[in-house]
Amino acid sequence: MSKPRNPYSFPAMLKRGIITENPVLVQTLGMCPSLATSTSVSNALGMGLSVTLILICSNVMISLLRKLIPDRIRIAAYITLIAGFVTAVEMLLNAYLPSLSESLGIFIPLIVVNCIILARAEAFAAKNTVYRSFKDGIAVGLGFTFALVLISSVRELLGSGTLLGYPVLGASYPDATLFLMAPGAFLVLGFVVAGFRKITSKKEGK
Amino acid sequence: MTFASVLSIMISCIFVENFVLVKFYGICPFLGVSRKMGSSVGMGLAVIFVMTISSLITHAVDVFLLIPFEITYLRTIAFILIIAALVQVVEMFLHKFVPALYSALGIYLPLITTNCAVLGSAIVISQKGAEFGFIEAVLYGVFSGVGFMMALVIFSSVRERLEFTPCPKAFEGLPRTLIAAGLVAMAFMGFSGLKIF
Amino acid sequence: MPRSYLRLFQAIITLFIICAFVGGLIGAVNALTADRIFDLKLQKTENAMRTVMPSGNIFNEIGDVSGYNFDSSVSAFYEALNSDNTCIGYCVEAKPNGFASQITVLVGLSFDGTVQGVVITDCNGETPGLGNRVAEPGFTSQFNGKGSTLAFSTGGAPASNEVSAISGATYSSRGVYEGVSSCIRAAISYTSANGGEAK
Repeated sequence: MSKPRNPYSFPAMLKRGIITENPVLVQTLGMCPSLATSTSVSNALGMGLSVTLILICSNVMISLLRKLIPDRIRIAAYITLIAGFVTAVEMLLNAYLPSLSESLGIFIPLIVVNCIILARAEAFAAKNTVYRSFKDGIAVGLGFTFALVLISSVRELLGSGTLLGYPVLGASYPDATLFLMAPGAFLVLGFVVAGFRKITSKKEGK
Repeated sequence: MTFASVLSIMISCIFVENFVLVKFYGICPFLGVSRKMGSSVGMGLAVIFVMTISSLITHAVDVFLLIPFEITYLRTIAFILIIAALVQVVEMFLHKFVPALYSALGIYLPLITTNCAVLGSAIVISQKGAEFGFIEAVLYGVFSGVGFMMALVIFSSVRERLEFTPCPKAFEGLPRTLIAAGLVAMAFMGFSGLKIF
Repeated sequence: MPRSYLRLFQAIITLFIICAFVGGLIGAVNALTADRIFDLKLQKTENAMRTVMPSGNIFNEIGDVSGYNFDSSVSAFYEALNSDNTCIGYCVEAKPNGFASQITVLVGLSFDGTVQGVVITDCNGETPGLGNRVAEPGFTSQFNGKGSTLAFSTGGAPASNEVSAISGATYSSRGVYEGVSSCIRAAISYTSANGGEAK
């Protein structure tokens, strides 16, 4: 594939965020939530979209303030901002999606230390315009969501024979609960990353 | 505080609810620094150190400030700021007064701020509510840190051997590390349900 | 010298702006959601109590239970009143240890400790697909009608006073069983302390 002319056009950024520079599958950031909250597709979607929302907000805010924030205190400033957005999202989830917030549990407050958000703040939002950072937030957030949904569909399908709660493999399928537990998370993520690499490297080779 | 309850917290934090392999806190440093035994030990010690102090301070802030003033919804933000500041202070303190320790742990300290194990332990302790006093909180911090370090050390010795084995190209690096981690986690499942009362 | 002051000043101003912004944001969202979160919690407990005690209308929490010698896992005790305001039984909440976490069970009981209904209000810390299946009605309905002779069985056909564990989730099942047993004992000791039937 030829190089896109404008690296900051939205489709090009989306492609980078979701495929070539996918935060989880390629850059191996944000591993904790990808392992812990991928037990079902609905959990993964909830987590992915929450992170996307926070990422968009923090990217926009940080890029707005990028000329104001002195270099020495930038990490503290970023963390404060991110923690603020996370707390806001946590309260909104508690109020409007209580069952989701119960099943995600502690991993909502832990979004604060999700490396993806801080990495995008450092590497992108601190150097780019507000509009670009906004687009970057969407692209990378969707990339994270994509990876989570990919992992969780494998885990939910093998672990409970369902997808999004609907039975897919039939009642006679013996649930392989291992895939819902900790070891299964590591194994599935390992195979998903390897498969993803295989597919994308083939495409690039052409 | 009886000996049995200390033992119970210890077993539960190190084995049954191992932070890394069972609860998925602190996966990033687990995958990032576990390549060498030496760096695993360094990172592990730094985490134990910070986690012990942060458990104490966050618990104090929780009990004396957040709960009495009914502002528990500020927990996340308060805890992360405390941890970030604490890491800074520890870094400066070590740099000035214990240069030997600083040169050993120095490079790992800044990474700890964004280590979800530290924030995770603070939040878990706050969720335990009245069940946890100060001693329990500190013990929980220490032993969770020990559990973290143990997972790192065990895994680094697995990885040191793994580095030199041939494998399909797509599995090189991260995928095979993750699969190996899955197998180690499976071993840890043997501890689940273990209880001392 | 003035330059470094300027820098410090800028840092302070920036942090101040950020803190003000974050504070305002959290304050606003909290004002927006606090009531709703509170109502939801209240409603959740009340719905659960209506499930385990269908004829109950008002549920009065007994705040001070220190005199009744309840098991330590019992976390809340309610008297259930019907629409005529007569006490028809109790709802008791317990938090026993499951496999990986505390499970919260809510039990509706008559005065003599016979189980009317059991609801699991929280088992999110249990293993998905195994431990958290204790919340399914197929498991919890086994407790209905059982009383002080309640016992636990891990294999074979359960006797009339026994509940059988979910296979593969023995610890979680046992946790629920222990929680329900504590609730039964709590109901019995509450009734005997208050001299028989309703007050």
